[in-house]
Amino acid sequence: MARTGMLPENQMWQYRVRKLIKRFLLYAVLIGGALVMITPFVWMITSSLKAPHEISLKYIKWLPEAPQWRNYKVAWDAAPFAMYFKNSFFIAFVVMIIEVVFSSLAAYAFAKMNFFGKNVLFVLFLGTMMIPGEVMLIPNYITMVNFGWIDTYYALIIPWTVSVFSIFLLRQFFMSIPHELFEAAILDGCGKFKYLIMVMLPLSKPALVTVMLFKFIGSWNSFLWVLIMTNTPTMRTIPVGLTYFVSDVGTQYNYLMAASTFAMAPILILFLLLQKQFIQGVARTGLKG
Amino acid sequence: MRSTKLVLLALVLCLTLSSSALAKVNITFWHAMGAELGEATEYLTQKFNEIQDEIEVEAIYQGRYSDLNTKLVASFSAGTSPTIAQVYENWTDAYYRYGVIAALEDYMDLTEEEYNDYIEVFRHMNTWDGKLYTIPFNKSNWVLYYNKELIPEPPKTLEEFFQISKEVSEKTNGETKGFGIRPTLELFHAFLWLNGGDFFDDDLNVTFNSPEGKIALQQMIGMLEDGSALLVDGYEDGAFGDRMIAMYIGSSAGVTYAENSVGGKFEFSTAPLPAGIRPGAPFMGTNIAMFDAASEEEKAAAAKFVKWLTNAENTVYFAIKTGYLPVTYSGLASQEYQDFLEANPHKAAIANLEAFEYGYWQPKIAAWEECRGIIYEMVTKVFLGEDIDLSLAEGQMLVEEAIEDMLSQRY
Amino acid sequence: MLRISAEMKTKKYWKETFEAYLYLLPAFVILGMFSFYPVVKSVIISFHDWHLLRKEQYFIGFENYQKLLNDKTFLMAISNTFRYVIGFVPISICLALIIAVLLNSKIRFRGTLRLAYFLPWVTSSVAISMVWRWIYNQHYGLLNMALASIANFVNSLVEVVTLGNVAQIWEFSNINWLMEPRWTIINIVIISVWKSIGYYVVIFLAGLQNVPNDLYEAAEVDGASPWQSFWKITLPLISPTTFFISIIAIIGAFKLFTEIYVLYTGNPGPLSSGLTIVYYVYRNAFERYRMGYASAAAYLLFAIIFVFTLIQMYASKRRVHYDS
Repeated sequence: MARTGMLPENQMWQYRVRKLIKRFLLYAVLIGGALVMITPFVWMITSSLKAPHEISLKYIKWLPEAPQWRNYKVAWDAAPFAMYFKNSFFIAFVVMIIEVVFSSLAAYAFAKMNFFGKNVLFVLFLGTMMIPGEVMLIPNYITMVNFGWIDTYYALIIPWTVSVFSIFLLRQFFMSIPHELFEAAILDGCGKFKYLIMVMLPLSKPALVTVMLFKFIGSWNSFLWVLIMTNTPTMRTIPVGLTYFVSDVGTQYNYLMAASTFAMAPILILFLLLQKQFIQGVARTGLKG
Repeated sequence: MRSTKLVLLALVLCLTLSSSALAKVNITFWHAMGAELGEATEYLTQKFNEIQDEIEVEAIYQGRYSDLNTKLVASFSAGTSPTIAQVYENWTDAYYRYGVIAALEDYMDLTEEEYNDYIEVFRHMNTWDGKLYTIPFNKSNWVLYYNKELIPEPPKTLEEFFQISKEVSEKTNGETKGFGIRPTLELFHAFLWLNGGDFFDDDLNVTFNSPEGKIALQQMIGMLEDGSALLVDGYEDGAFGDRMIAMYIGSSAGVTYAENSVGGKFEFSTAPLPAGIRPGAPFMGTNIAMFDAASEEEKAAAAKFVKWLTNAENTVYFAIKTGYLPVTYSGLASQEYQDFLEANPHKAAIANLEAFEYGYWQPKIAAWEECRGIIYEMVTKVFLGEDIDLSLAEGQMLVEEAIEDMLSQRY
Repeated sequence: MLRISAEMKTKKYWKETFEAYLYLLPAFVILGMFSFYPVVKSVIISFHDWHLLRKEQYFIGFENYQKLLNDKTFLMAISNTFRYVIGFVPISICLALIIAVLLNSKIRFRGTLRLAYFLPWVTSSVAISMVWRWIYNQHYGLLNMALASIANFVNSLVEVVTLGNVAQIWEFSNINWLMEPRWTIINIVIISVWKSIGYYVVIFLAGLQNVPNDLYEAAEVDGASPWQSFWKITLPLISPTTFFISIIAIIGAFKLFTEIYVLYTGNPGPLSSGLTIVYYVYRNAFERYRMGYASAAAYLLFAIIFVFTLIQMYASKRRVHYDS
C-alpha cells in the first residue's frame, strides 16, 4: 500500500488492473479446481435421491425426476445404523483424545530432548509405517484373542491410540518453535512438562487440530480391523453397515450412496467446526522479535 | 451362619444355571449375506432357535465374501474358527486338502431319500472323497436375460442367438446392441461349454486350449466385430435397463437388480442359455462347511441345523426371499415354489428343471482363484487384439504351473 | 559419534534420556504390542514355508526371498508400484502446495473452498469408486464426454482460425479407460490425487500458519514479487512440513492397494496392470494362504521404502530449516 501512494496516475491505474486480473485468475483457479473436486461427490448425492432405474448410464442425468427421500429411510433401516453411529462416535472420540495426548508426549521428546538412541528410535518408529498392514493383521488378531479382547472396545481403541504419523507431524511443528525460547524457559526454572503444556501445545494448535481431525476420520472409516476384531453387531461401526448394499451379483447404488452420505455428514460438521482452529492458530508473529 | 447359607444358595443357583446352559449347545454360523439376504438368513436362524431348545445358533454377518474369507483365514491361525460358514467350492478344496473341515454328511444321518433329494448338480459340487463335505446353501444359475419388447421369443440355439443379436442391432441402428459382453471368465466358460469344451478334464489336464476354446473366443470377438454385441464394463443390468443391450447372461440371483434397473420401462424375461453342440446351465453360489476344530457335540448340533436349514420348507422360504434356488428336489417341486414361479413368469428360467440336468460348474480346486485370474487375463488379451492361439497356449502353460504348485503342496 | 560419547559422560544427558523415555513410554508400549511384535513375528514367518491352513510350518531360510526375486509377477508388481509412486507423489505434493498457498491468501469463500478440496478425503471409497467407474466408462462416462467436447471445441476453433483449411486436428474416439492396461496406473493416479489432495492441503495449511505475516509485508516493502517471496520465504519456512508430506506420501504410495482393489472390483486391473506389491502380498496371504511368501514380499517392500526414506532424510538435512 505504501508503494502505490507514490505512483503517478497512469501507473496506478495499471497496477490496479493487474491486481484485478491476478485476483480473477486466483478465483478462477481455485473455484475451477473446487468444481472438479466436488463433481464426483455431487453425483453421489444426487444419485442417493434417484430411483434405481434413474442411476442412468447412457445419458448424464444429474437430477432425479422426483427426489426419493425414502432412499435414506430404507438405507437407514437396512442395517442397525443407529447403533453403528453410537459405536463409531464413541470409538473415534476416545481414540482421538488419547492419541493426541500420547503423540504430543512422544513428539515433544523427539523434538526438544537430546537422548540416547534418539535417531535410531525415530527411524524405528517410522519403519512401522512401511510394513503393509496385511501381514500384521493375523499376528495382531492372535494377540487380541490371547488378550481376550475380541468383541471389546479395547480391541477397537487401544491399538490405535498411538500413531507414528501424528508423532512425526507434531515433531515437525515442535521443532520449528525456536529453540532459544525453550532454553530460556528451562533456565528460568520452567519444568519441561509445564513448558509443553503452556507453550508448545498452544503454539501448535493448527497441527494438533489437524492430527485430531485425521485421527477421527481414520477411526470413523476403519473397516477391516473392526470386522476382524468383532463378532457381534453391537460392537460394529458404520463402514460395516455400508457393505450391506454391495453383493457379488449387484449393488444397490441409490441406497449405498444415501448411506455413504449420512455416514460422512458428522465428519463434515466436525471439519466445519474445527477449520477456524487450524487456520487461525496463534499467529507466530509475536514470537520472532 | 447367614453367610454360609448365602454361599450355598449362590452355589445352587450357579449349578442350576450352568447345567441349563450346558444343556444348550452354542454354535456359530459366519455368513456374507447382507441386506434382504441377511434378513432371510437371520429369520431362519431365529426360527430354528425358537422351535427347539437344545441348540442355539448365532448367525454372524462377516462382510462380503472377500471379507469373510479374510476373517476365516485369520481365525484358522488363532484357533477361533466358527462352527460353520458359507464357503465357495475352491475354498472347500483348500480346506479339505489341509484337513480344516469335517464332512457334514458324516454327522447328518441322511437317509438315502434325503441324500438323493439334494439336487444332483449340487451334490456333485459338494462332494469330496465320495462324501458331501459341504451342503449347498445359496445356489444360483446363470440365465439369459432378454428384453421382451425387442425379442418376443428367446433364442433356443446358439445360431438363433447370433442371428437375433445381429437383427436387434440392425433394427435399432446400433442404438441397442443385441448382446452385452464382458471379458469375464464366466462368459468364456459358457461359450466354451456350449461348444462342447471345458477348462479341465477329470484328471485336471487343461482342455481349454482346444478347437472348442478357439471357437468360443472367436464367437465372442466376432459378436463385437460385427456390431451385434456391446463391450460392457460394470454390471450388465445397468446397460440392459438403459436399452443399450437387449440380452445378457447373468446370475439368477441378480433378478432384483435387473428389475430395479429396468424400472418398468419395458418387459423382460429370462431363458436358459441357448444350446450349442450341447445345452448348458452354469451353477454358482456358496455352500455351508463345518470346521474340524469344533467339538463332536457342536458338530452334531451344526449338522442338525444345516439339515433343518435345507429342508423343503426352509430352502423354499430362502429361495423366494432371495432369488437363490431351492437346493432340494422336494423344495423345487413344492406347491409354494411352483406358485411363486407362476406368479413371476420372468423368473421361470431360473428354476427350469431341465437345466439341472445339463448343469456345469467352475472347477472346484484350491488353485482356482489363481487359475481364474490367468484365464481372465487370457480372455482380456484376446479382446485387446492378441492372437487367439498364442493366448490360449500361454494360458494353458500358466494354468498348468498353478495346478502343479497346488498338487506339490509347497507354496 | 564422538560428540555423543563425550556427552555420554555427563549426568545431564542421562537424566534427559531417562526423562525422554518417560515421555515416550505410552507410545513405546502400544507400538511394542501392536507394531513391533507383529513385525518381528512376520519377519520370522518370512523365513518359513508358512501355509495358513497347515498345522506345521517349515523353516527355509532365505528361500522365499530368493524365489520372489525370480518371480516375474512380483517384479511386475514392483514396476507397477514404482510407476504409480513416480506419478502420484510429485503431482499430489505440487498441486497441494499450490492450492494451500492460494487458499492461505485473503480471499472470500475460503472456508467453503477448503471444504470442497477436503471432501474427497472424507467420502467412503466403496461408494465413490462406483462414481469413478461411471466417470471412466467408455460409452457414457463423464471423462470421455468432456474430452470429446474439448476436442470438438479445439477442432472448430482451428477450423475458424485457418478459415476451414484444417478441419480435424484432434480426432477423438472414446477411450476404454478401464479395459486398456496402459491407462490403469493413470486412472489410479488421478483418483488418488483427487482423493488425497485435500488431505495434504490441510497439512500444508497448518504449516503455513507458522510463516509470520510480517515477513511478507517486509518483503513487499522491499519490492519483492509474490513469486520471489514464495521461493525465498514460504518455501524455506514450510520445509519441515514439505519434508513430512514427502515422506508420508512416498510411504503411502508404495503401499497402494485398496484403490485398485475397489476400482476394479476385486481384480488387479486388465492384464494385472494394477498389480502392486501390497496387492501381491494380499493375494498370497489371503487367497493362497502362503503367509511366508507374502511376508517376504512385504519385507522387500519395506526395504525399498526404507532406502527411499533414508535418502530423503539425508537429503533433507541441509534443506529443511526447523528453527529459522
